[in-house]
Amino acid sequence: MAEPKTYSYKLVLLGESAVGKSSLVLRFVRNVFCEYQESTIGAAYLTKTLTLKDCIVKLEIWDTAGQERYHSLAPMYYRGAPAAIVVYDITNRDSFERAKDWVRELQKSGGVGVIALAANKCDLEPRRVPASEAEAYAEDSGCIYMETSAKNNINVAELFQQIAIKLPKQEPEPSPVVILEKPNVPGGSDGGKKCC
Amino acid sequence: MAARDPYGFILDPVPSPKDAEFLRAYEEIKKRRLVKWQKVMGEMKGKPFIRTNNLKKMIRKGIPHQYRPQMWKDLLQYSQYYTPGEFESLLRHAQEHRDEPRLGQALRDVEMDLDRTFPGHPAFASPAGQAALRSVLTALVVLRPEIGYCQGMSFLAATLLLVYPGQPEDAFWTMRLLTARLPAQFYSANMFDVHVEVHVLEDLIQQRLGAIRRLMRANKVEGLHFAVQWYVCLFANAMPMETVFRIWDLVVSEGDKILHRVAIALLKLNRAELLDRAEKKEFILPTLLQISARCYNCETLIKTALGLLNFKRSTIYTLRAAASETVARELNTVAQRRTAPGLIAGQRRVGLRGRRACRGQPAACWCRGLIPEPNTRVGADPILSRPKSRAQRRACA
Repeated sequence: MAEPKTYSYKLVLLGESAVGKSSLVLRFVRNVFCEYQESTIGAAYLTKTLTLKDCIVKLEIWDTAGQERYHSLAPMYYRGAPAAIVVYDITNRDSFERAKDWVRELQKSGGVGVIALAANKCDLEPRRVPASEAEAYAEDSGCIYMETSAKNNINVAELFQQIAIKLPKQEPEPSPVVILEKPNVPGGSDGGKKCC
Repeated sequence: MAARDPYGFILDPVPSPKDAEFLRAYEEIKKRRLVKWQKVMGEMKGKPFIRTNNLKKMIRKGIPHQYRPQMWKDLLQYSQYYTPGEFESLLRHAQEHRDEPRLGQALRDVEMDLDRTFPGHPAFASPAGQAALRSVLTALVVLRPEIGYCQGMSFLAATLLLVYPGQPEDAFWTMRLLTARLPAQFYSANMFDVHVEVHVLEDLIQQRLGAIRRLMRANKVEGLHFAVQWYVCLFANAMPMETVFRIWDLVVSEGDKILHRVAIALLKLNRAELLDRAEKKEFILPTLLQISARCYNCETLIKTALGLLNFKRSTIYTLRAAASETVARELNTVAQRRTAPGLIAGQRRVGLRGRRACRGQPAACWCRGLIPEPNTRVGADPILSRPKSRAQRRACA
């Protein structure tokens, strides 16, 4: 039997600060959950390989910082990413509005084919964003919609699985590309003397 | 139970056998240095603080932790700028005006990060620790409303609270004076100067570690992918705490250029592994993201950083000027792509106005954006009366 093909994809997580982006990724990749997850500065990078029915999908996940002023970094992560998960917190109305902005921006940029809307913290009360409203919005904008809880491990694997299934399976690129032109270039000045 | 370092942090990742060996030996080295420090501190007692060459050399080898509170204050010229009562009045202002939209938003942002700053450390898991963190950040937000709260600042405040435990006022003043040593638009609405610094780093890698720059290009890795955290938090949440303190000793004593030195040294020390990964056709990014966290050997790092030859301030200024243009263009493009036009226009104006006005005048740029607007006495602000360094004067001329 021929070996199943391996496809590599970049996947980016976007969304308001403290909605649970890092927690979702850590639950998915390492199956752990911390009640108090350290704030992400810049972005974190993790990978996970999924085995589907007829192929293997390797996800290169970029988990980004949520605060508005880190927004200027976001395009660097979603550029060239065929998939994105936009996360909001069901107990925080503003985070849903922000999620819509993200979906709009991604669609405008045009590059991201598969967008998933994750309604996170679905174990928490009180809910401020009705499921019906979010679902309708996701349907209108062509996103995958899923209610998740990184804490109780609800729908986390399913979310990533659905994305992996939906991603177009073209010929795998030889990834990552590594070119080593001159491996023996000296690394600059290595003096012991100080200068300042 | 997981092993912890002397400051209470879990050793994560677990030090390699070589690093563990170093950490044991380092304790002995620290004891030896402490003896020397005790002598010098004894001599300095009661006299006005003078940063002698000998002291500078000793600081480069690390300030003993029990002397850090005093030394950092002296090096930051704390007594010159400290105004009794200002901290409390800033906190009162926050209390009275928390309904204002901009301030309210900033305070909510602060609140969100309190239990997400060094969550594994006992000092910040307690309500008292978080309250101290809250007050430091609140005072800073009120002091610089145009900057507000930038994620990452909480790690700076927390690191300072480890030096000044239970003394939020000291942590506030030292943070204010420390951040005044950074480029003005570091924590601004679009973090303009963080982008600039990372571009400068890329150029320095190009000049000094050409092979790594080529690898980055081939792997489509940008400096912003791995270095944002290094600069925004001054390595505070990226490295083992002892290494962080050693770097901060130098930032406090010699200024922000050391951040570039450390970044280059870190890459240089891991150059062999990066090249090896590349030879095996592996992706280099995970390594780039891990090298800081496992940098237990602060001695080698600092020695390498300070040993980099020809690392001139003027070079950094030239690179900064060139990078500013690029960053302005890039941020402009990003801003135009955004959906909320009002917000972007405002952000862009803040970032570029400061930059344009100050090109070629680093000292002026230093002040802009950090000047607390209406609610403080401008004349007394430390940033305004900062003496220009020799290099800055040269750059201006």
